[in-house]
Amino acid sequence: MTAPDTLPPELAELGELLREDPPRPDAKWARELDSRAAAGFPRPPRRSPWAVLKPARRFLVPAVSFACVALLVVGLSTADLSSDDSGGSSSAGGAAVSESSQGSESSGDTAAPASRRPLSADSAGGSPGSDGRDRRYQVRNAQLTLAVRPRDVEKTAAGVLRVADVRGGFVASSTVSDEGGTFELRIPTARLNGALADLSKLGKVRSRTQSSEDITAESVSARGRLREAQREREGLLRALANATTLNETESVKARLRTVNDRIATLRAAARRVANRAAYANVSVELVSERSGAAPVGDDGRWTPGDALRDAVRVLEVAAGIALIVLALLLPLALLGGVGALAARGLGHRRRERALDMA
Amino acid sequence: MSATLEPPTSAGPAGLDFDALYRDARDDVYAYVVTLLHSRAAAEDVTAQAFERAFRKARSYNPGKGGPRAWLFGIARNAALDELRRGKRVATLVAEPVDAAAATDEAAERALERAAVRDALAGLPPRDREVIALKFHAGLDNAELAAVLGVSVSNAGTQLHRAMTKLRKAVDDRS
Repeated sequence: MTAPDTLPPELAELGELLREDPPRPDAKWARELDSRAAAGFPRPPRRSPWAVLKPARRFLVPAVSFACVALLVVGLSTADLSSDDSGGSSSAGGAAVSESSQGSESSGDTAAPASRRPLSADSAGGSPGSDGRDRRYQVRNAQLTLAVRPRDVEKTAAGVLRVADVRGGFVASSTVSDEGGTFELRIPTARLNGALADLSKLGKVRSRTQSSEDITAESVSARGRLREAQREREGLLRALANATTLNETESVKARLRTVNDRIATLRAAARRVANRAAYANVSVELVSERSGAAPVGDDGRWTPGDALRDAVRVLEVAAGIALIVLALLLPLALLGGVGALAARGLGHRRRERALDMA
Repeated sequence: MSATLEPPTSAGPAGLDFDALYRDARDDVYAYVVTLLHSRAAAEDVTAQAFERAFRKARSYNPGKGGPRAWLFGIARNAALDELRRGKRVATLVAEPVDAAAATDEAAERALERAAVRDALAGLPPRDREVIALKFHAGLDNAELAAVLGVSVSNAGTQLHRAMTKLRKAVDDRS
């Protein structure tokens, strides 16, 4: 063992001989390296990623075009599905539904959703397809609870009425007080989603539920009984025309009156069933809350308190996002660090092994 | 070389003059690498690669971890070991001829001694060649040697002594 940087004379002499005669580089190579160093070791030009894709460009352009068109179609169809009001007629304010409007609903434009699958027969009137129609009739119900500020109750109540009117519905009943209010609305079924969207903008939505009830069998049964009565009436009319005696005539007329009354009753029943399918029941409850959202159409009174709440909310969301990102990145960073250390150690060991095996 | 080299960024680390380091160490790095690899072609490539890596990594130079030469030779060592690992090029080093006729008797004698040492060195294992080349061709002191090899200073001194002892024996065996 020797002290650092000192060797015994016989070894130091060898060192001197080595120092005197180190391997020298080729002069031409040295000049070239000097030039490269003076130029800052320029990198060879990199191949552009586009150059890599060059052979595939022929197929790439049509593929990208097709993808764009497909995206466009999907986007348009999605937008079409979401705008459920576009196909509906604007029969605003109609409290009563006439027979003609029932007919238009039967065409499938505005009534409850239709389905082509067969339904099971009901006890009264058979299957929906038994009379040649396979539409399904559904009663749709929705319940919405909105939180509003006490001072906005009245304004929001007016907004609820306005939505019902604009969407072609009507208010079946309503109660409004300082504490809030309740509204029973009838909205054309085809416009239910749009109406709910409008109503949801009026305040902070505390709850929103929707349900539906299939009344196809009920509808089919009512119409069947009506047709039956109408056929009976036609028969009675024929019998009346053929009646020869006074007694016979009076008897047929009495039966006709009974059948006419029954037809009126059955027609009203059929209309009620159709109306139930054509109009959705929407219950809106207004709840007065201090922290309720400001309704849309507020008169621009955006207070410093509102600003503070908004700012806090923005900070909350930003902090949440940062936390999620951190939660995702931290393990990745740890894994990356461990991987880098392992790779470094492995590389070191491989190099040392290469030296031993040379 | 007339142009002054600048690291990739204008704000290079304090204490690293790459231009001066290049001028001072070019031949030494080459001598070390060729002694280790036994191939002039490979040594040229590896030396150029080492300087290029050093130029690109100039920002990562930390004076607290050693001098610029130790840092540079560490990079050169890694590049040389990578070349060894790839193992593509075999040794093709040919010893330079001794011009004994043109020299005086004493100079000729010295030249022969140098040739003998060079031949003996070429026969040593790579680890011994490496430590000797770092010491006598690159001119590193034991502290720098330790930094390049990743060992303690005393361990570096021990490795050097053992390598030189082997070299002495190899020279004696050849004479």
